[in-house]
Amino acid sequence: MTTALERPRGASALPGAATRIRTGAVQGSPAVLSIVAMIAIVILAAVIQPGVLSMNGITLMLTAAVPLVLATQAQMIIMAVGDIDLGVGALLGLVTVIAATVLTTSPALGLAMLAGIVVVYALLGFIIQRRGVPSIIITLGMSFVWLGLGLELLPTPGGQTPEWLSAIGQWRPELIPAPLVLIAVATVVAWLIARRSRFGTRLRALGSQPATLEKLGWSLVRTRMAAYAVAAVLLILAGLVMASQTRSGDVNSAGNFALMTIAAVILGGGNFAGGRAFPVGAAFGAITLGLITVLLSLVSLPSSFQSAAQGLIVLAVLAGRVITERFIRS
Amino acid sequence: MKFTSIRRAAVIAAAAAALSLAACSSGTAPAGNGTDAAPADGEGISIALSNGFVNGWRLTLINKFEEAAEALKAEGKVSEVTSVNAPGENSATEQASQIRSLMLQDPDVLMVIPASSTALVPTVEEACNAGITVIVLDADMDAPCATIVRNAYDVWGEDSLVPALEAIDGSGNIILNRGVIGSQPEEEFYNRQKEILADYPDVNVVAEVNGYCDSSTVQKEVVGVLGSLPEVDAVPGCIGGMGVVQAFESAGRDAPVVVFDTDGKSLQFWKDSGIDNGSYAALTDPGQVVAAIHIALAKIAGEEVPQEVVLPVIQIGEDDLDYWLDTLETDEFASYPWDEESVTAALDAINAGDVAVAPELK
Repeated sequence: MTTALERPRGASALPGAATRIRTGAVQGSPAVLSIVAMIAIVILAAVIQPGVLSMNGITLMLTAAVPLVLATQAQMIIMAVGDIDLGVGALLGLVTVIAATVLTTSPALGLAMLAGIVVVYALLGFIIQRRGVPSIIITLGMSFVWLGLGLELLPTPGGQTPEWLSAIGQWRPELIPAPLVLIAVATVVAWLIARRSRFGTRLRALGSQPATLEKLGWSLVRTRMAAYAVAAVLLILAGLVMASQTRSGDVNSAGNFALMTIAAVILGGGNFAGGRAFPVGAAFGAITLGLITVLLSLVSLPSSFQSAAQGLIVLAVLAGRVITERFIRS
Repeated sequence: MKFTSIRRAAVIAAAAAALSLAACSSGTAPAGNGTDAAPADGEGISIALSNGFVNGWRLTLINKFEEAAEALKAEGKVSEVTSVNAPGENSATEQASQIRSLMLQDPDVLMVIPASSTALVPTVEEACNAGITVIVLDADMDAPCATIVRNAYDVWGEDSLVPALEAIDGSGNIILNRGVIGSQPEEEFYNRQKEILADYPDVNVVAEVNGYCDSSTVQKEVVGVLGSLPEVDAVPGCIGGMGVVQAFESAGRDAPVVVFDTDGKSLQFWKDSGIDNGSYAALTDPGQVVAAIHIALAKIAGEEVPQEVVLPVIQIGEDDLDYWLDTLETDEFASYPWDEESVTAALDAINAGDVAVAPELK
C-alpha cells in the first residue's frame, strides 16, 4: 500500500537517493529485528565477559559465523525465487571434503569438481522450473547424494586442506577482526547481486510475479538456473571457508546448516513465499544465530540444556519477527 | 501516516544502536585482551573442559573432573571450573565454536576431549597462541603446543587379549570382537592384537565381529555368527562381555572367556552369573582427567612435563571384583584414584623413559 502511495512522485525516471533510502528502509524494516536481536546478544555477552569486545574477542565470537553468513546468502537467493534448499549442510560438508582431499592432491580436478557442483545446481533449477518438482524434495534428495559422495571421498573426518586455504583461516589482520572482513565482503557481494543488479530484480520477480516476468520477455528457466548457480558459488565459498577453519574435511561438519540458514533468512526479513531478498538482514540473522551459542556458553548454562535454549531463543526471535511484521503492515 | 513515522523511528533507533555498538567496541578494544592470562600468585587457576560427545564412560570422566576440581577449589589451587559438552553428535565444528566461547572466558587451562583429532588442531593452536595451557584428553592429536594425556591404545589391545589367551592356555577357538572400526584408536588396538595372535599358533580365530565396544551390538553380532561356529573358548576384544555371555546363553552354550566392561552394572552381572573361567574386565581409564588436572597444575608451576603422557589402562581380575563393586555406582566406570603424588611419580617415570605406573587402589 505504502509503496503504491510513494512511488508516483519519482516515477518519471530512476528514483532519487532519498526515495531509494526511504523505500529501502521501509521494505527492509522486517530485518531491523535481527539487528536488534544481535545488538542485544552482544551487549549481554559484553556485560558477562567484557573481553568479548576486544579484537580477539570479536574474532573468536564471529569465526564460526562466517560460513553460516555465506551459506545464508545462498539460501536467501534460493528463497527469493520462492524455493528452499535443504541440501545446504550436506553440500558444505562435501565441499570441505573436496577441499581436504582432491583439491590438495590434484588442484585442477578439485576445481573441476567444484565447478561440477555449480553445473548440478543449475540443472536443479532447470528441473524445478521445467518439471514443477518442489524444491524441498529435490534438494532433500540431493543432500543424500552430497553426503554419499563425501563419504566416498573421505569416510572418516580428516584430510589436509591446501596451504593457501589454511592461510585464509589463519589470516589475522592487525586492525580489524578477520571474520568481520569476510562477513562484510560476503554481504556486500550478495547485496550487489540481489539488490543492485538487474539480475537481482529478476530473481525477486521470479519469486513474486513470475507471470509478469515472463510477459516482459525473460526466460523463467534461465533465471531460476542462474539463481541456483549463484547460490552454488556462494555455498562453495562457505564450504571452503569452513574447511580453512578446520584445515580438514568432514562431510557431517555442517549438519544443521539447512535449518539454520532458513531460520537466518526468515530472521533477516525474508519469507517462504519468495520475492524478497535482504542480504544485510540475512547476514545479521546468521550472526545472531551464531552468537546465541556463544552467549549460552558464556552464561554457563548446563550444556545438556543448551540445544533446547538455543531453539527457544530462535523461536522467540522468529515470533517477534511475525509480530513486528503485522505491526508494520497494519 | 502514523506507521511511516514508527518505521522511521525504528530505522533511526537501529542505526543509532549500530553506531553506539561500533563506538563501544572500538572504545573498549584494548581492555581485557588476554592481559590476565597468567595466574596471579596465590590465586587458583581457572580450568575449562570441552567434551565432544557424551556416553556412559565420558559421563564418569566428567563427574570425576568436577569432583576433583571441587576438591582442589576447596584447597585454593583452582579458582573457577567450567565443563561443557558440545551440542550435536560428536561434531567438530560445534565443538570448535564452543572452545572459542570458552576462550572468551580466558581460562588458564583448557582441557579438550576432541570430537576429531584433525579438525580441532587449528582451534587448539589458537588457544595455545592465546597463552592458555591446553591439555588434549583421550585422543592422539598432532598439536605440539598442547600436552596429550591418554591411554595407550596398543596396550589396551594387548590387555584385552593376552589374559584371555592365557586363560585358555594358549590354544582353542576364539571370536575376535573388534571396536569402533575406522577410528584411529581401534587401528592401533587391532594391529597390536594381530601381532600378538601371530605368537599363538594354536589359537584359531574362527570369526571376527564388529561390536563397536558396545555390549548390545556385540550380542547381536555374536548371535548372528554363533550358529555356524564350532566350540568357542574365548571372545576377547573391545569389552561387551555381558552381551557375549547372554548371546552364548541364548544359544544354550557355556560362557566363554570374555572381557567385561568396567562399569558397575557389568561387574555386578559378572558377579551374579558366577563366571570364573578367567574372564576379566579391561577398559581405558576415565580417571585420566584427574591426572590431567594435576599435569596442568605441574605444567603451570613450571615443572617439566612431557608432550605426551601415556597412562595405564584399567584391568579388573576376579580378585579385585569385590573392591570395585563396593566402589562403583551402577552407571559408573572404574577409574584409578590419581592424586598429586601418583601423577608426579608417573611424570617422573615418563621423563626417565619408563612406563607410567597406576596409583595403588585403596
